[in-house]
Amino acid sequence: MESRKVCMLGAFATGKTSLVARFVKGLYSEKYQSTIGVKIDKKTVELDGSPVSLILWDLAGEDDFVSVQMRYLRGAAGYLLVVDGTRPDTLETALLLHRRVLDEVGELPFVLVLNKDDLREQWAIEDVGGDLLGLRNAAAATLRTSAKTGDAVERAFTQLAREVTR
Amino acid sequence: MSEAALLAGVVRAMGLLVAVRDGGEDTGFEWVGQVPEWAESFGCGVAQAGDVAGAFAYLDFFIEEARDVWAGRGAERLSSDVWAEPDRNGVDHQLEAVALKVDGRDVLVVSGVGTEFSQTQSILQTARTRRLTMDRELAVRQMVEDQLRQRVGERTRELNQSNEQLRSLASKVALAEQRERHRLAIGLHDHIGQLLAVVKMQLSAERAKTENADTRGRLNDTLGLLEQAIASTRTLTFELSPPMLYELGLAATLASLVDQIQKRHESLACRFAEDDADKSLPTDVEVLLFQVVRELITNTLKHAGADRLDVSMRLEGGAVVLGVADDGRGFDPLVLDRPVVGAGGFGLLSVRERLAHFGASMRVDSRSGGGTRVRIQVPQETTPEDPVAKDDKPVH
Repeated sequence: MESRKVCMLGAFATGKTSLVARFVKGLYSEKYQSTIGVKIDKKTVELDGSPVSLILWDLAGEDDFVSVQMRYLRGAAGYLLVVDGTRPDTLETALLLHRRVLDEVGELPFVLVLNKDDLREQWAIEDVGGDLLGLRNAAAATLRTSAKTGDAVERAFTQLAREVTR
Repeated sequence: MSEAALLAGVVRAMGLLVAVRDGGEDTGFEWVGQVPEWAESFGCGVAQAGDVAGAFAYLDFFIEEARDVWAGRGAERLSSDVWAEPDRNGVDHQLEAVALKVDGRDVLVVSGVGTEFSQTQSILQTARTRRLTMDRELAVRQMVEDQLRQRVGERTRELNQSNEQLRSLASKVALAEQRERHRLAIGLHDHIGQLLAVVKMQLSAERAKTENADTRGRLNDTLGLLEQAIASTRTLTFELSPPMLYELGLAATLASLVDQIQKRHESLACRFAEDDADKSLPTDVEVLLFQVVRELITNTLKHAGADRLDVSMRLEGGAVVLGVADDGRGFDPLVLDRPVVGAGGFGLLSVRERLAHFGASMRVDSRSGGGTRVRIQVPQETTPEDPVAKDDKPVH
């Protein structure tokens, strides 16, 4: 069976771990618990009848205290770049992380995810139809997801799986 | 108990998973000693050759990182970060690894570190949680402010619309009033004025014919009263709505008004000045401007105690500019902005609004003892909401 390492990147508390938990275990918890270092999970997806094993590396989110360790991307085939739709600054962090990947690892396929779509009233990223600081054009796909409701989560990972198995 | 057996016991008691390889990078790691219970759930067994990377996805990455240690380059040992990984039952374990070189052999030690946060991790968790709370509070505050701003904007728009409707209504009322005044003035001039003139002519004829001194004296008295009636009719006609405003325009009417003022107030030096440019405006605007200038002159006469009154009308850059200036005692211009309730006059606050309706503006400069200068500027191409053409004159 084909196997691909993919990473979860984004600012802290954007829902990276929750997206993985929803995708792998179908679970969701309201409680926020920051990821320490890296958390690894596996999930097999079917792509056109062929199974592909995704090794998901959920990296600790970026903030003032923790810097994402780009060395964890070694051997990665792609990444899911996660933005919290209720916090505009997480879009800027996503852009910074994307640039760091380009600088330190090289170009990799990625799917841009605007998470927490269930919090419509608090949605703060206005240019969803726009270019999202240029990330929309760079990404293989851009999706609005909700780890809480599960909306578009499977689609986001499947899309990434397709990109990394091309 | 041999030393080896003792060490094996210690390793087991501490729950350490130890793997060793002898042949360098080309060979795989094999478990040493008894595999701890927690490691069995990852598929590590005594009888099984150690497929380290197969059991722990993270180690595939870490073994690469530790190459220099095992090659004897740099540090003698390397500790991994803490990582979490699920076992075969889906239970997450928090683990860490150490790479060592012992007696020329590559050694890898993996241990569970429990699921509790360390002190540093707890601080990080607390800091992030607080930051999230602050962000959310900020976002909620921002949302409330945005909603408030939106509501204020909506109310302001409604108020502006309402004010505009009021201005339009005020203009229509003023126009209707002026039309009625004009109708009365025309009636007074064309009918009563004409009748009085005819009566005067007939009486004059009668006086010429009579030879009786008493009759002639009474006719003279009557003709004197008739002269007064005719003069009053003319004055009233002009005050109601000067017919010449409609016939000759604003400039000529203002010149006449200033002339009349001069005749009635000899101690006041009155002057009207204009240029030769075409200063024609729509009739409604001229009527309004006449009312405004007349009101300003009345203010001067009543309150200023002035020795001099200058009225002017000129064309400046596509706009008609009217000026009314005196050298009287002056006043605080802010007073003009206060609505005058119950006053019979022409409140200048409403004047401003009505002027604004035609795109015109009024500026008042005055100070105590320094006279008053009023400047009214009207674009010659006014675009009122309900425009009335120049030739749309009141129905007589």
